[in-house]
Amino acid sequence: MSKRLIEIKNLIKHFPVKGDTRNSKVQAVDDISFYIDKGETLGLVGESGCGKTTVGRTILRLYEPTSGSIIYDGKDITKAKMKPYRNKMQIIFQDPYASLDPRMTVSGIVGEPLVINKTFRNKKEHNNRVYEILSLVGLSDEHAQRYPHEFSGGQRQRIGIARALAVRPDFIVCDEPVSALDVSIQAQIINILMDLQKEFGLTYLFIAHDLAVVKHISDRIGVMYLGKIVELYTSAGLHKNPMHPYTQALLSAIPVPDPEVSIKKKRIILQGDVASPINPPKGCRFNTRCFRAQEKCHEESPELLELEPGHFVACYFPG
Amino acid sequence: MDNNTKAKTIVEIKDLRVSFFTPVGEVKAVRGVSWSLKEGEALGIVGESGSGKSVSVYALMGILQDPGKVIGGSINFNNINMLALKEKQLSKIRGKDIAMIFQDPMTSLNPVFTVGNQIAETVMTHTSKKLHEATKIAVSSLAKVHIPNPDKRAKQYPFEFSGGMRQRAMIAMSLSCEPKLLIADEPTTALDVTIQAQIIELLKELKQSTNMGIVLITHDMGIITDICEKVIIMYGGQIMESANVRELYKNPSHPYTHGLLDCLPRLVSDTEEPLKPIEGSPVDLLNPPAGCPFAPRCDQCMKVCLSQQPPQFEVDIEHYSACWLHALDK
Repeated sequence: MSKRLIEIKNLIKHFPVKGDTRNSKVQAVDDISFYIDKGETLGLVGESGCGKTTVGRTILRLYEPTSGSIIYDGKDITKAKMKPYRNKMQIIFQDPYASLDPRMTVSGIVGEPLVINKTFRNKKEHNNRVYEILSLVGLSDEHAQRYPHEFSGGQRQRIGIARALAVRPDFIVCDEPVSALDVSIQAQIINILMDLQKEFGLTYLFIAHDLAVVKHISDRIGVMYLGKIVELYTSAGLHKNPMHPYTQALLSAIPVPDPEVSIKKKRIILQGDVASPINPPKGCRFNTRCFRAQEKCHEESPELLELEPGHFVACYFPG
Repeated sequence: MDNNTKAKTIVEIKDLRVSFFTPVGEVKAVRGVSWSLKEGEALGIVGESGSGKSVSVYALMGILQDPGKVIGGSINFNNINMLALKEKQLSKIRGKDIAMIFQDPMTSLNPVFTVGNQIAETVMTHTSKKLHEATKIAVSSLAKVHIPNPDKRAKQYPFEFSGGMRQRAMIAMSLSCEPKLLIADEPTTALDVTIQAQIIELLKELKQSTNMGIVLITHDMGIITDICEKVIIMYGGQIMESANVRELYKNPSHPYTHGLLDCLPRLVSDTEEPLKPIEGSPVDLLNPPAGCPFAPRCDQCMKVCLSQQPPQFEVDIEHYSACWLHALDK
C-alpha cells in the first residue's frame, strides 16, 4: 500500500509587485491541491509563468506560502522549523552553470551538506561518502578535486544531483533538470534520475515544460496554466485521453520528429498569449485563448473535478 | 520539388573553415563544411551546442565576432563572393538580401525605439524611401506576420510586446526589404510550445507566399520536419549526414543521426524502456580528434574511425553520410 509523502492543500502563493501603489499581486500559484505517494514521480508541466517552479519552491518552503498547507509524511510543515526536514527534501536546479559555486571543488560542493548535517566522524569517512555519491551519478574519484568550470553541462548536472543525494533525501524537487542540456545528454541525466529512484525509493516532483520528457519519467502528470492545475491524470492516460482544451493544444503543438506523423497530425494553434498573472481573466483563466470557451467560462472559474477515477479536469466543457 | 530543377542556386558554401583564436588556443569551430541552397528551398541545420551550426551561417553573414576568422573555403551568395567584400559592401547586403532572426527576441530589438520605427529604419537604410513611406511598409509588414492592430502596435515599444509578438516583429523586420535569403537561428527556442507552434505556422505560410530561401538552425529534430525539405546534421564542426528530410527520417544512416533520433523520449510510444543516451561528452574543439569527431562516443567505432576522417559517402540519391561503416557496405 503506497503512502502519501507529500500533500498540499489549497496552496496559494502571491508575490507583491514592487513599486505598485494599487497593492496588486502576482498570483503565481492560486489554490492548488495534490499529493505525491512514496516512490512516485509527479510531473508538473506548463509554460513559462504558469507557477510550476513556484509550487516546487513553496513545497520546500524556499518561498513562504501565502495560505494553504503543506504536509510532509503526515506532519504539517507549513509553519514548522525546516532544519530537521532539509535533509529529507532536496532540490535539483535547472541551470547547472549557475547553481554550482565556481570557487568550490566538487568535493566541497557535494560534501557541504554532509558538513552541515555532521553525518561523518572523520575526514576519511567524509571523503568516502563523497566518492560513493559521485560514483552513483557516474563520476569518478578523480573528479572530486576539480572545479565546476572544468566540467561540461551534463557533468555539472550530475554534480548537482550528487549534492542533492548527499544527505540521503526521500523527496527531491527536480526543477527543469534537463532543459539546459543538449538532447544527447538529456537522456543520460533522465536515466540516472530513474535509476536512482529505483535504487533508493526516491519520490520526485519533476517540473518541466517538455511533455515528452515528463511523460517518460512521471507516473502522474499535472498540467498547469496561470497558477492553476487544469488537468491531472496518469501519464499514459493524459496522452491518450486529454480532456482539457489546454492539454489538447499543448500536446498537439509539440513538433514530431517524423515527417509521416507530422503531416497527418492535426494541430491546434492557440490564439494570442498567456494572460498576465497580475490581472488574470475573470472566470476560467484559459478563456482568453480557449477554442471551446462559452459565456459561462467568462464568469465562473471551473473546479478541478474527478471525471473518471484519478482523472481530474478543471473545465466546464471537457472532452 | 518539380520547379527546383529550374530554381536558381542562391547560396553555395564550399569547404568552409572557421576558427576562433583564443588565448588558450585555436578553437576549430567549423572544419570543412559545404552546402548549397536554391531559391524557395528551406534547409535545416541540426546540431547540438558547439557543433558549429550557428558559426557557419555567421560566416555567411559576415558577422563573425572577434577572435573568429574564416580560414578557408568559399562562400557565394547570389553569385557574389562574400568573403571578398568589405564591411561597407556587406552591410548593403545584410538586412536587405539576407535577413536574420535570432534566438532571443527579448534582446534583439532596441528598447528605446518603437517597433515601427525600427522596421522603418531598416527600410530607409536599404531603399530611397522616406520615413512616411517606410512607416507604411513597417505597418504592412506587421500585418503580414499577423500582429493584430498593426497601426497601433507599430507605435509601441518592445517592452509592450510579449515574447511571441517580439519574434513576430523580428520576422516582420526581416521581411520588410523582401530578402532573398532568411536565416533563422533557433527562432523558437526561447518560446513556449504553444507560441512556438504559432511561429512555425507563420514561417510555413511565408515560405509558401514568397520565393525566398530559408536556413533554419535548430537543435530540435521536430521543427525541421515541419518547415524544411533538406536537412544537415552537424557534429564537432563537420557535416555528419545530409539528405532530403523524408529520406533522412526513413533511412537515417549515420550513427550520430541514429543516436539523436533514439535518445529522445517519444510522445507516441508506450514503451517503458529506459532511454538510449549517447554516452560520453561533446567534442573538445581545441583538440578535435584526428579521425571522425563522433568516434569517441560512437558504439560502432572502428580502428579507422580514430585515425582518419571519413569522406561523404553517397548512400542514396542526394543523401550523404560521413561514416566509415558505409565503406564496408561497398
